[in-house]
Amino acid sequence: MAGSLIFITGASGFIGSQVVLDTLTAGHRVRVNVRRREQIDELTARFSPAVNSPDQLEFVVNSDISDSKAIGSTLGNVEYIFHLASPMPNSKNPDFKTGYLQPAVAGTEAILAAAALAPSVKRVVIVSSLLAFMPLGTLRVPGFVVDGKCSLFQSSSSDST
Amino acid sequence: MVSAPSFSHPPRTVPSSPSISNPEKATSSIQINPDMAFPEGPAGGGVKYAASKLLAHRATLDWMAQNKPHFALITLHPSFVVGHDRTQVSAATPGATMNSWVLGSLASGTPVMPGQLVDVRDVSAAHVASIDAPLDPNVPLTEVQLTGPTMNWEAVAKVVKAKYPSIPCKMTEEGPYPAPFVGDSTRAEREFGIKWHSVEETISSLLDQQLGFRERAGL
Repeated sequence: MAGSLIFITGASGFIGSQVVLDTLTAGHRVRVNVRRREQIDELTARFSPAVNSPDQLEFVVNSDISDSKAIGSTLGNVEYIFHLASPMPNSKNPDFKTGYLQPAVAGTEAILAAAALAPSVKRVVIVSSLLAFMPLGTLRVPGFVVDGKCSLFQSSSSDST
Repeated sequence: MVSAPSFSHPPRTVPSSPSISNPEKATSSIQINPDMAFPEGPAGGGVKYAASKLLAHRATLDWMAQNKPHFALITLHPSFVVGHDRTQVSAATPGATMNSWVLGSLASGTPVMPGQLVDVRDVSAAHVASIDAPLDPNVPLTEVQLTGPTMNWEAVAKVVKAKYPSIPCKMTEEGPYPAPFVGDSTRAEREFGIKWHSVEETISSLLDQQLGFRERAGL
């Protein structure tokens, strides 16, 4: 059938659920990655209104998003990856490195590494945040312009503008 | 007034590999120390989240520079994502964090976060557009800011007061509230074809769902 095959992580979340629905509506095929098999029934019910043919929606289970080898084994024929799975501000583990940083980095690097070994993958989309361009402490600066030109940036590197 | 988080020691610069070619060029040159002390509690959660987003994107940039994969990478950078929540089935179930922050801000009259909101439908559209968007073949990584039209709490309050009198709202359209940060939506609009939902469309989408829950619950 027409449409590309897209592998999506974080599909059970707020943004991810909308993304799966819109991707299906656009006529693509979606391979949803879930961490637990028990999620499949609920997500099937959530996404099925946007499914037009039976082969448009499928699920794979990867309990550990940082397991690149396991992720890679589920990327057969995948052309695009939408990676949305990442810790939220209210992480259950309050430790910065183990509750926030490492899960975010490990998941992303595993997806990238798996994609690098999958010749069918054309593009990878990773959801970050505008916060990635904002020095800490600037979020509430009135009218702060997100352009990398504030004094909290280094001025010495060769890539400065 | 700048409400910067307090640190036990000043941030120091962590060396990073040179950033690959991308217009923003910002992440790799921001000073941040992963070993800094973070505030505890909910305030700390926000700072930790922000720091993790910064460092995770830096790790992505570094990974791309080191591995030079065959695929093109697109990173999407939304501001505060709000709107109809496909995961929420009743008022009793927890909904999207940012939606609850909007409702809490309206009810208390004090903004929980800057009023730079973006509709979840626009963030989703950017994903679908990523399949076909024209990319510079010489640039392995394309960063896309998703900030939408400049929203602010005054505009949000105006919509709520006019259309949703039953929603608790101590905010006013006169405000004034601190001006939110300003992103760059140029690439999202020109290369990804995003047509932003208006403040009214976004807030209505959020509140219509919540009011629907209340009606069904007989509230």
